[in-house]
Amino acid sequence: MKWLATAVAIGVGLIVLADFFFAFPLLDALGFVFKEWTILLTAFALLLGLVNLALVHLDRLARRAEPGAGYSALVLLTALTVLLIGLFLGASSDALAWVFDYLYVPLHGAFFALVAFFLATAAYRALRARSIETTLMLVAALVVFIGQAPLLGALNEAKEWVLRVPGVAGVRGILLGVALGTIATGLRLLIGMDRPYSE
Amino acid sequence: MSDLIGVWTGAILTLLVFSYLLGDTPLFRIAQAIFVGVAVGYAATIAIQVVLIERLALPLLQNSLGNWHLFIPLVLGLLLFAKLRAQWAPLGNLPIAFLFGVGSALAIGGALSGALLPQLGATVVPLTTLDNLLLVVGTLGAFLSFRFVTLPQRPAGRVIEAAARGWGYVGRWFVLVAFGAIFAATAVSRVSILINRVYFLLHDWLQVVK
Repeated sequence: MKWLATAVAIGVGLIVLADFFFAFPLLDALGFVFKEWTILLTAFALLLGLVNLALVHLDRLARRAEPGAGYSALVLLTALTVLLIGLFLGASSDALAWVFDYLYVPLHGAFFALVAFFLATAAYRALRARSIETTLMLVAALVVFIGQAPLLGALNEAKEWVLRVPGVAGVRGILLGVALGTIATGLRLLIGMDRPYSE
Repeated sequence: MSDLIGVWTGAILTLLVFSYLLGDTPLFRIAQAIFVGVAVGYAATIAIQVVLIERLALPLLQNSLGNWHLFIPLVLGLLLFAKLRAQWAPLGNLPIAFLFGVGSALAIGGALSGALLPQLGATVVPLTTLDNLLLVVGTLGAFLSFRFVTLPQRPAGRVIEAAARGWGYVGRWFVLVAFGAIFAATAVSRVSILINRVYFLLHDWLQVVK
């Protein structure tokens, strides 16, 4: 069975990769079909993850003594309600739009807004570390942060320079490393050196 | 009416989340549980309605012979659920292998055309200004600062090793400035969202500001 999984990963991967570089009708058709199947399998994988999440919470509910069982019940109840609204009234229904606008958006916004306080705490801790590296990082952060406000023209120009020259250079170096790492990892999978799917 | 209930619901949920500023309270946990539930329910709805029904079930029900190839992802997708039980889990390796195969090919193509080649192209600039010089030195230095290999200890290897290490050390400063800029950009976006939430509370809910 392991050899079949390896053969599928290598075969399918090489066809999609070849489709990326060459324009042959057969390769184009196969590449298109494989990408379409990938979308469907990703949806199945998402459902698998959600089923697993539901099972974990049901298990916690079954053992009522465990702290947090009430929160698990709330997770399951909310998820089931939203799912039933979506399935019976449709993904583009007013009811699901209401859920998105008045439940999801406020919660999502509030959770992300909360990060602002943690970032302020992190900046304060970095300031207290008093090393050259953290000072440099904080100075760059302050220049970019204050430079956003139209208060001082010179600071605005400094912000533009920090973003355009050292900021771009740093991010570009990281991106080059990430791209090379991605290619190396992908190639290891495509030649069968790494087989995480048969573990 | 539904808008009024919506605004009240949104405002109460926002306050529940902000209760975390006082500590890890049960009110925050309730908001957390509702958020996870809503996100899970919404994601499941989109996956089932938009992908599995529209792109798989309907084409198969309408013309199963013409769309016979869709039976393959259907079977592979069902095999994925074998992962839920330990003794059936190996059956789920086949769809996982398929996803890894296509995923790695797309990742290689994306990394080449979306990151490596455009970024290298943008780094090749005439070294006529100080900014361009800093850009090239900084980019290569930042790249070298993530180097975790050592060359063979021959004389030439040692010289290259020392040069790469020195250049990488300079590049580390550029990486730190980039981290600072990313930190500031993240802080700005989060503060904007915080202002939006406070405005929602004061304008939409309490109606004390215009």
